[in-house]
Formats: sequence, C-alpha cells, structure tokens
Amino acid sequence: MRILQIIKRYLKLYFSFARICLLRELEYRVNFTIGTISGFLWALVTFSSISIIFTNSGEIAGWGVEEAVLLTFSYYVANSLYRTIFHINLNELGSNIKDGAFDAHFIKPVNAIFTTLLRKINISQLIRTAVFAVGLFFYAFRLNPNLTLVNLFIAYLLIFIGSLSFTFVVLIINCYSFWKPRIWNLMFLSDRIRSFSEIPSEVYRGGFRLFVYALPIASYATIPTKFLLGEGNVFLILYSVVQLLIFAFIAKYVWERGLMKYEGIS
Amino acid sequence: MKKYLAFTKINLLHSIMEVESLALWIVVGLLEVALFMFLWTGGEKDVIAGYSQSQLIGYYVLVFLLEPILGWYIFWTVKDDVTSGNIQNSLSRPFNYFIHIVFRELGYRIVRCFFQVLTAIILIAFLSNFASFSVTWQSFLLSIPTILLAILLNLLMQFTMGCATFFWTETYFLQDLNWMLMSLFGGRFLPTVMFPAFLQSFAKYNPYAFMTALNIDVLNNNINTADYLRSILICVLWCSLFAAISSQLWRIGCKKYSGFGK
Repeated sequence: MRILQIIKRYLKLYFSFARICLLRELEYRVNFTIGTISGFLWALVTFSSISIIFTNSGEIAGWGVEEAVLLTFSYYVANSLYRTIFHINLNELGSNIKDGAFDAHFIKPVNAIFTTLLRKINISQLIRTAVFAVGLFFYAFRLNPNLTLVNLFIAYLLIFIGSLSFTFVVLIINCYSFWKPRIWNLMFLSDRIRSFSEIPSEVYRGGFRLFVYALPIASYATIPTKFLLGEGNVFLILYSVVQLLIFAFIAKYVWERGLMKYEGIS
Repeated sequence: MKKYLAFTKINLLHSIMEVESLALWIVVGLLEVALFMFLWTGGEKDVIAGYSQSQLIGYYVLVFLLEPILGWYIFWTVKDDVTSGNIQNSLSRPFNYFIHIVFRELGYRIVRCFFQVLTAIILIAFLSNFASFSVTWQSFLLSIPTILLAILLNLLMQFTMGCATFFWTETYFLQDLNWMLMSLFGGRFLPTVMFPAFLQSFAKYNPYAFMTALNIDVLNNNINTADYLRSILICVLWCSLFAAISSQLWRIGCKKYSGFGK
C-alpha cells in the first residue's frame, strides 16, 4: 500500500514536471516549432543518407536498403524516446556537478536519481517519438506482411528496453564528472557510441563486434528490427533483458560512488 | 592587436588545462572514422560512386583532420553572452566584439588542432594499408586559401546565428539546423558526389559546400583550376553576404538589447 502511495506521488510529480516543461517550450514558440521541424529534417537526412549509402554499396552484411530503412525507423523510435525522457537531463548532469547546481537535488524531498534523470521532458521529441512509432508500424507491415502482433509487441518492448539500457550507459559515462568535473563533453562520447546503432550490428567485425554487443548498441535498434523482420528468438530477448539489468546495476553502483565523491562546490 | 592576442593567450592556457576534454574529442572523432570505415568496407561493391573503399576511408580520415580546423563554434559564445547578459561587459569595453570572440576561440583552436592533427598524422600512418590519399605539396598549398575562406565563412555564419539571439532569445534551433545542413551538404556524412542528380547543383553552390567537401577535394587533387577559382569566388560572395547580414543584425540587436538575461 505504501509503495502504491510512493508511486502515485512520483507520478504526480512527474506530470507536474511535464506541465512545466510544456509551458516553457510554448514560451519560446519559434524555437519549439522550428526545433520540432528540424528534428524531422534530421530524420530525413539520416533516412536519405542511409538510402544513398545502401543504394551505392548494395547489400551490407546481408542488409539491403529496405531492411536498413526499417532499422533506421527502429533507431529513431528508440532515440526519440531516450531524448524525450532522459537526454536533456543527462546532458545537464556534468555542468550541474561542475558549477555546484547539483546541490539542488539534495534539498528536495525526493530521490536525487529521480530528479536527475526525469526533471525535464523534451516535448518536441515526444511528438517525434509518436510519429516514428507509427511510421515504424506501417513500414514494418509493408516490408513484412507476415509480421505477427506478438513480434511487433516484442519489438516495441525491446526498443524501450534498449533505450533504457543505453540511458544507464550514458549515466555511467556522465557520472565520471563526479571525479573529473572539468570534462564537459562526456555527452558527445555517449552520442557517438549511440550512433553506432544507426547501422546493423553485423557490419562491425573483429574485436569491435564485441564492443558493439557488450554495450547496448545492438539492442538499441538491430535486435528489435530482427523481430520485425521475423528473425528474432528467445535468446535475443534474454540478452536484452540481462543487459538492462547489468547496466542498471553498474549505473547504481557508479552513481552511489559518485555521490560519495561529490563535494558540492563549483 | 595586442589586447586580442591576450584573449587568445588566456584561452589557450585555459584549454591546456582542459586537456582531458580535448582527448575526449579525439576519441569521439576516431569513433566516427571507425563507424564509416566499417560501413563502407562492409558493402558488396569495391568502387562506390567513383571512390574505392580505401579512398573512402581516406575521405573520413581527412574529415577527422579538418574538423577542428574548420569547426569554430562561436555561436554558443554569442548566444550565452546575450542570454546571460554578459555581453554588456564586452559592449562597454574598447574592442570589437566579433574580433574579440574570434581571438578567444583561436586559443582553444590552436590547442585542439595541435592534438587532433597529430592524431590524424598517426592515424594516416597506421591506416596506410587501408586508406589512400592523393595529397601533394601543391594541393596542400592550394588548400590554404580555401581553408581560410571556409573558416571565415563559418565564423560569419555562426556570428549571424548568434546575433539572432537578440531577437528570439532561444535560438538553439538555428545551430541544430546549421549542424544538420553542414553534416549533409558539408560532406561530413558522405561525399557529395553520391547525392542524387537533383541535389547535385544545390550541393555545389550552398555555403556548406565550401567547408569540408571542397577542402577534401582540393587536398585530394580532385578539382580542376576553373572549379577551384569559381569556388573561391562563390565563397567570397557568401562571406560578403553573411558579413552584411551579421553587421546589420548586430547593429539592430545592440540597439534593442534590454540588458538582462532570459
């Protein structure tokens, strides 16, 4: 009963955060409108680039242009979801630690990890998430008419798991700011690592493939896409879930160690 | 000049202190090279749009080499100065704001370029069996004017976008749009010769074409004299246009600036 009350309290708080973010976004309407449009233009650039690359190269590691476009849809759903909920907050973690603004998380009567990860919501990304999720749905059925609803559900679930796993990776990377507050560009490292999931994981060879599978790069887009193509199996689901648990555990450990290191001065 | 160089010196020393961030930029850049290396060498075809696989790897190594040289991001400085109100300090002092931020950025660029160019040279040596380049001393010398013009054009575009903050306050969307167009038409993602026919002519004349893509073509001896001279001329025209727009925006912006942060 007490747990339910806590969940209710946090949900109420989260919706208040969302409302404030929406009001703030609407305050700068030009930025909001063009920002939303530019998000779709970014997607258009990526889809065009992927099409140009795969059309020019022929098949890459067994992936043709249509499968690659489907993968790009999966990537955009996962990416928009991550950017809606977590990116904007994680992006500020390093600078908050550096200038001492992180102190504010401790004086509030809620868990610091909650306010660190969920205080801000990117509303324009929320619109993109919905659009790409619908786009993925239609393109998946167009490409694979035999796609079952179970596989579709698993694919969406794995996209959510993949983006959550990657959030923990970003948190681990950004927690390095507790030890080295002067490094201000850690976010770019996680952005670059995430970009590896824009192309099929089979493309990577040698020791690099180990890197791709050790981090949630394959589970971000390639594995959900496999389910949409009817090539998924139970092992891939287990792999994604176990990876999520491992990174959640590591993130919790690193976060707690980081908090102990935090001195609270700019 | 002495006062501007003092800004350069201060930022240079500050940048040396942030050597870990510089190292991280290099790692990020190297990962990008690796990403495209795997992508282009994983295909069925050996020659893609006139590029062999080794030439394509060489292309992305040159992107890595040119990135810190061309990528001056003074937009953030202007935007932060305007929104925080810090720009008042600069307006009341006896220097030109644009030259001041350029020289300030120069300090950072010197340190960043030193490390990244050094890494690129090591990378070129390391990838000698996989990547091919057609860089000669002549092409290197010919690239100096185009690189300098590309830096100037980028600075003026960044400053123009930064000045827009006087009018809109929240202007992140401009940098986002700029970054997107630069990645696509600047040739950071892929060589522009791979674009479909309907985009080719636009890809040749838009301002981003004179940044990474043109300089790689010049370095690789991939451009004839007529195209080289025409590119310089068009780049000068773009610079003039952005200089005119930015000076107007600056003048009007300073007049209407109310002097407090957002």
